[in-house]
Amino acid sequence: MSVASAVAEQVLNGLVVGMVYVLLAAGLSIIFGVMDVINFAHGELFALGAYFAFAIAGPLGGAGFWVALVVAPLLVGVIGMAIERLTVKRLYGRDPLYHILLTFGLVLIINDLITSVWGKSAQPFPIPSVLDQPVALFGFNYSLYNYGIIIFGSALALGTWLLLNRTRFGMIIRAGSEDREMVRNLGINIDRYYTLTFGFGAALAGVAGIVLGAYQNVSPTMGSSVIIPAFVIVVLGGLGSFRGAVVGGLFVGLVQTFARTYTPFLEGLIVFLLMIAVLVVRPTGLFGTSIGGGEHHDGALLHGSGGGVLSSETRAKIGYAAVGVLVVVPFFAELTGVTYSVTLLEDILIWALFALSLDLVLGYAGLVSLGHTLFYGVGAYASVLTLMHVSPSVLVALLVAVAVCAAIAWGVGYLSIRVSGVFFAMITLGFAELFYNAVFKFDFTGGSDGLFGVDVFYGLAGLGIDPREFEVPLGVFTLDGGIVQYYFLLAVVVGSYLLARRLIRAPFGTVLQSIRESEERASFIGYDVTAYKRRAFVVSGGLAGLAGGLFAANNGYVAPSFLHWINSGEVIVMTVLGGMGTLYGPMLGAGVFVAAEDILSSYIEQWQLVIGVLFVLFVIFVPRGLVSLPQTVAEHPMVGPVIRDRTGVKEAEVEQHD
Amino acid sequence: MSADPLLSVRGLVSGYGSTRVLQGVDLDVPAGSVVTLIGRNGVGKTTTLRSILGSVSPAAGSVTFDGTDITALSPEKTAREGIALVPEERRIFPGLTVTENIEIGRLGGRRDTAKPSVEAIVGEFENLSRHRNSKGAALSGGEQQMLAIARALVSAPDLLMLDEPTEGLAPSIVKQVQRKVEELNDEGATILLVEQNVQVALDIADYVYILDKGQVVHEGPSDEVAAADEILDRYLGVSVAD
Ligand SMILES: Nc1ncnc2c1ncn2[C@@H]1O[C@H](COP(=O)(O)OP(=O)(O)OP(=O)(O)O)[C@@H](O)[C@H]1O
Ligand SMILES: [Mg+2]
Repeated sequence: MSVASAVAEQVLNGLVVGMVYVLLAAGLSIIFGVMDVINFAHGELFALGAYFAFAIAGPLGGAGFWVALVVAPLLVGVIGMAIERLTVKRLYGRDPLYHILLTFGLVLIINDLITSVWGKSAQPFPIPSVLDQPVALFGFNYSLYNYGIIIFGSALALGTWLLLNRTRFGMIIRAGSEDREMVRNLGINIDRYYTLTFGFGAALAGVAGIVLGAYQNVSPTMGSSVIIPAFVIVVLGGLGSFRGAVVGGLFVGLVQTFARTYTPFLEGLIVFLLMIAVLVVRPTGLFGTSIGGGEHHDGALLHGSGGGVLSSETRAKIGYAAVGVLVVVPFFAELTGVTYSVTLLEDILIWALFALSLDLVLGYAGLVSLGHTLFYGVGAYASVLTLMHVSPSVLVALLVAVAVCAAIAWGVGYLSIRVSGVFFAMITLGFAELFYNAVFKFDFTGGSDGLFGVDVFYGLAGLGIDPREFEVPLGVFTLDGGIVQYYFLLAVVVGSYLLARRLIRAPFGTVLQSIRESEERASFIGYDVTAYKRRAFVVSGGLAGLAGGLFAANNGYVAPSFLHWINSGEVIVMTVLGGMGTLYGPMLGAGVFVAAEDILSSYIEQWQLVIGVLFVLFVIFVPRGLVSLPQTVAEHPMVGPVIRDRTGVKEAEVEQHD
Repeated sequence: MSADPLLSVRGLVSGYGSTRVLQGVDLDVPAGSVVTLIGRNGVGKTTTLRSILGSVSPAAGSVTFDGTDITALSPEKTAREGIALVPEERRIFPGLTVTENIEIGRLGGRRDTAKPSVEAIVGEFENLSRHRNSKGAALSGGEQQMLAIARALVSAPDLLMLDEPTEGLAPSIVKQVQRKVEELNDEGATILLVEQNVQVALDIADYVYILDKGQVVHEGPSDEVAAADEILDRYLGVSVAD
């Protein structure tokens, strides 16, 4: 094959992948442009399309594929409309974060449904036999199906463009994405169009899923593996820009394909490098015109609060009690033989620290870091590498982890904090994905296996405890190395909490909180808002690194999965579940989440589904988190009066909502 | 004033969150007249218009339009009753063409009324007909204002509410806008006008309400108000030369 045909073949491969991305990104971008919704579930709708088609085409045989190509996207569209009606709709006007959270919950639900119906392993989805033949064009043979994808994808993209630009529906959608309120003021019920738009975007994702499913195969991970590139495309092209989605989709498809062949090292990295570069130079993306969608929503992040019902002394007492319980648990575990509970507690403590770190930026600085696992993962790698190559001391390892993560946070913050909101979220996600993909590439990070088999020493310069040799008989039981590890962890986490609390009560924290209340006012008073946010991000990055470092040191290994975006999602879930902006709330959230996951997963197979449903309900009905529950109950028109009578809370202190 | 005004606002209390901006506003707009609402910055003029339209929900009071109580209606529904707003800062759709901006206006408004064609409306605005296929963003400030008015007119509203239509425009353009509003009134349109430019407001309007701290502090026919130097000075800090 000549060089020219080889390149031509790569171009075609790139266009095939690119077309899938175009269809996926177009829906994502339209949904964001019109409704300000960042739809994390888009990837799962894509997967649903593929699976529906798989289920329809199989039994029908021959013409099944064509039936599926029509019916499956319609089904996905209907599901999209139902999702909009039942869940997304309830959150309009709130900060876009809540849509991220909600759709993250939907990811868990849909993904679990897919695996429980169709199983966990990938399955072949044959392309129709008419298309399963080579075509000789440009001097080489190439699959007719692939040509079909390119042609069909172009036709659909053109159709979408016509729909947006040549129809009444499209005109209203475009107007709505520019100024929703004004469309309403004209007398047009835009909410109806939202449902249609969501359904339409979902159907496009469904088509993309079918096309790719038959090109490769169908698997339950197909959604989560395309969603991040799809976001990158939408951000690259400009949020809400259809043209951006088309150009970005084809471009990313081509770049990925060429990178795979000609610069394998950059495969998986180049897309994120591009995205970061574009955002740094042009935060609105290539074709974006404005930052954010149509509405200036006043919906701030909703913070947890326990005020009004639990006094701060009560809360402090609960805190002491909690630490007290944590201190004695190992003894009971030893006595009762449930040593497993100590392992669970260690997990909880580490996630609690991770959630605490996120809360500093999310709850106090109002920055939605979507890639916080970057710091967790890098902290873990840094600490394992230090233990392997520098010193067996866990203290040194953790110090390095914190320092490295704080430095990276400074760099990332420097590049991203001037662009706020959605772009910050996307850049942090981009960096996290960049590191995630990078650790696979290097030997010193252990590639896809990660690094394992490190031993730790609790001390410095030979002075301290080696957990392998530690053994103190104490009556009925023995204190061993595991206990040392546990108490060390407990001390670090409690210490970090106290440190964070001090920081928040210091003038620094007061300024952060006033920025959170009103950025405009804070900068008006003369505070350098960006500088304060950056500092909060650095502290947060350091603490997240500490959490990752602790986990790696405790378990003696690190793997690429530490950097997977699912962790970033889960830590946000914990933070919001507990109640952001309270420090203790996110820690509580981590406890509930990790414990629930642990317990549920040992009793039911569909635990992801249960967690997803619970979480969705929380985002909709208890956005201020668990810590706000006492107050919410006290404010409830039916329960409220009873509690007020009993606790003597004055009527005036509890504001009534009707 | 006629006994049965087209729009009648009574005891309107409204605001944002827990801040009350309007503290009981009363005003009437008789059919076929131009009524103006003037006052210093931040006294609640825009809030009054938004409360009438329903994009801010009134906490108390009533808004009656053509005999129907529209107090609690959403902006969509209010617009469907025949009230069109030309908002502060125009808020045309910058990415839509001039024609599209007007087309979308034509989709709004009352359903049971004959609406002028887009072409007819464009034809009425000389400076728009030259730019029919330009994006809204490409228009000058004065043209954008005309477009915002055209977008409202195409829905054939019974009441046109204009929020500071001359703001930020060059004096010659202000004159054009003023002429347009007067022309509309001559054709029989009913107009509620909010203006910063007191001179323009008094020139155009038949009747004047002065708003201060969320309340109507003075009202009267425009020639009387124009002559009341002391009142204009007290509430608006201006004196109107004649
Ligand atoms: N969306 C909002 N949220 C909170 N307060 C608001 C909002 N919009 C206006 N306000 C406040 O309400 C008050 C009245 O505002 P309004 O816009 O009605 O005044 P206005 O008379 O139209 O002023 P201007 O001449 O500046 O247009 C002001 O103090 C303003 O700060
Ligand atoms: Mg105003």
